[in-house]
Amino acid sequence: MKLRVFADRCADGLAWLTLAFVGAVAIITGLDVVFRQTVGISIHGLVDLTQLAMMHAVFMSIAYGFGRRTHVAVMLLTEVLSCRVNKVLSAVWWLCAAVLLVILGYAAFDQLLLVYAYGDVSQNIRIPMLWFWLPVVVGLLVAALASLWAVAETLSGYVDQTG
Amino acid sequence: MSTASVGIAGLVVFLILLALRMPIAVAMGIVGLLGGLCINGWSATIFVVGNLSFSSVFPYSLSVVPLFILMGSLALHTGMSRNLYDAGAALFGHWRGGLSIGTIVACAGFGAICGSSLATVATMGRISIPEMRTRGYDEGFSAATVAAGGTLGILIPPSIILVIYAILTEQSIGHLFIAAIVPGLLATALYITAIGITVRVNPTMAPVIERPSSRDRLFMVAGGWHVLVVFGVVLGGLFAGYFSPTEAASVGVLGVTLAALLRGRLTGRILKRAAQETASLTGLIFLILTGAAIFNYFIEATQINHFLVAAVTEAGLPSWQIIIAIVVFYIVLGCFMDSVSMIFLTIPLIFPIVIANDLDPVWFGILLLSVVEIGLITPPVGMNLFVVKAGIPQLSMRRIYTAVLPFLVADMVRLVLVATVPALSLYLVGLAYG
Repeated sequence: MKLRVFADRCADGLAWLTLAFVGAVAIITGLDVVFRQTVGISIHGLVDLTQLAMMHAVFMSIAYGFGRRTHVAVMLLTEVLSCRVNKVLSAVWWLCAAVLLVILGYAAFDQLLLVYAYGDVSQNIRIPMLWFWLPVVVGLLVAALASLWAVAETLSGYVDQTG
Repeated sequence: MSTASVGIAGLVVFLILLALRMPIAVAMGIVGLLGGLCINGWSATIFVVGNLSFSSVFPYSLSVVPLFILMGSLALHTGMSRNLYDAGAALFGHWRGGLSIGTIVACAGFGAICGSSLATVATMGRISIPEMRTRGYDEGFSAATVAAGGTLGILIPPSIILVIYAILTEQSIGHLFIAAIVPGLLATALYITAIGITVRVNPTMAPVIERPSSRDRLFMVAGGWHVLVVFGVVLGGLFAGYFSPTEAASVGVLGVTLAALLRGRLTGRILKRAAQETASLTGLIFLILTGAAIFNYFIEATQINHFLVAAVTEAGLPSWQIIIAIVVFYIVLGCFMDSVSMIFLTIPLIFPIVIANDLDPVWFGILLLSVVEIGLITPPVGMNLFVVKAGIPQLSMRRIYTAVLPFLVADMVRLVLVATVPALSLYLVGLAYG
């Protein structure tokens, strides 16, 4: 039970982080529009900052999506299958998702090491590209953990099979 | 085994996984990854998928997606929809079927700030269906009105689906938004016509209700000012060239937030719901985007998209037959697949055919949007029908299916008009961008 409460809070934390990053983009872009139209100056490095915030927002939200199991699936054959078969299928799919995410995380980590080794930086204000890659790796691995959590919850019968 | 055979086998496995209810993004990712491994081996595939996870999110143009989602979420939870409905009902409520017309107008207005069909249906359904029930409107007719009105959420810009199409096909988001304005207004007008004809044929569907005083009506219409201002600034700024799409979306977020603050509607609870919804929808779309990128890498490696284009070109079909085939394909697919997944999955295969046949990509985007939108209210599995049904559990699906037919006819008329008169989509684009 305590683990479940903890998982819920983590998911909410990811949603708040997403909001914070998207909100930050809205504010700095809005300020840029105002500055440009009034005093004729732009915020230097706005594109880099937007991309950095979006990388964080999106990968936090992907992890959140796995935490809350907000995924789209097609209901075609499973309605005629028994509840037990559906439960097993659901657990298998979450396990597949976890495996996929771990492989993607590993592949992204490889790239992260490369950009770190080459010392790549962003185009305008030279932010190390490492900071753009970090949320990719962390987000994918947190999403993999959330997927494994979904497997455990599905097998323990906690998750509604229709949801 | 040839690469084409691997490609066909991959597509078959993908369809089986979909049928067995694997999440679409995961199915695309798994099949794309395994297919890539079969064709290109471990090192090359891992290098590519590592890059794809990054490059599916990194482009600056994509930042518009979470921003519009946040804008719609805030508008949804801060009660903008209620004001819109009141304004619509005040303007048209005293006509026969007027509350339905008011609902359609409110859906169109909400679509202008929301961009999501399901959110529009869920929100407007909660507000308008109880109101129509109290005034003696037929429940099936009320439900169908909301389901159809909800489709305006994706048709009237800003539309998340259009942004996704623009990104996948490398078209201008601004051009597509402007191109969707006339078809969106046309859809609204045709739905209102469908309501008018329905209540004329069967007046018991919608009784006439008392007309409020002019002062009350003015007050209720004025209550929707904030939507008009936000919509005007976002689209007006885009149209006049003051904003890029990302800037327009940012200004939209700030505008909706400011309007909510002025009306005392921005509470911690609402922010939390907006945060959860934004995270949920953003995660969903970008995961599908990443899965689709991996799947497309596999499709490109097998070259079956090129075979498809070559086969269609060799068949020598005239453009109109190709368009009809594509439209029918999407209507059938829309019966069992949601719009976002459908576009991610099919655009890499269909778009090369569109380009090879010299069809205008902006016009095709609007046509595609129109077809996808029809799928949302097509029995037996139109998503909007289920959303309204969830709000009225005692209502049978059969009654909703019957009541939605006039709206489907209106959709078909619009589809034919959009398909045969490209100027409906392209005239404003030419006017705005030359």
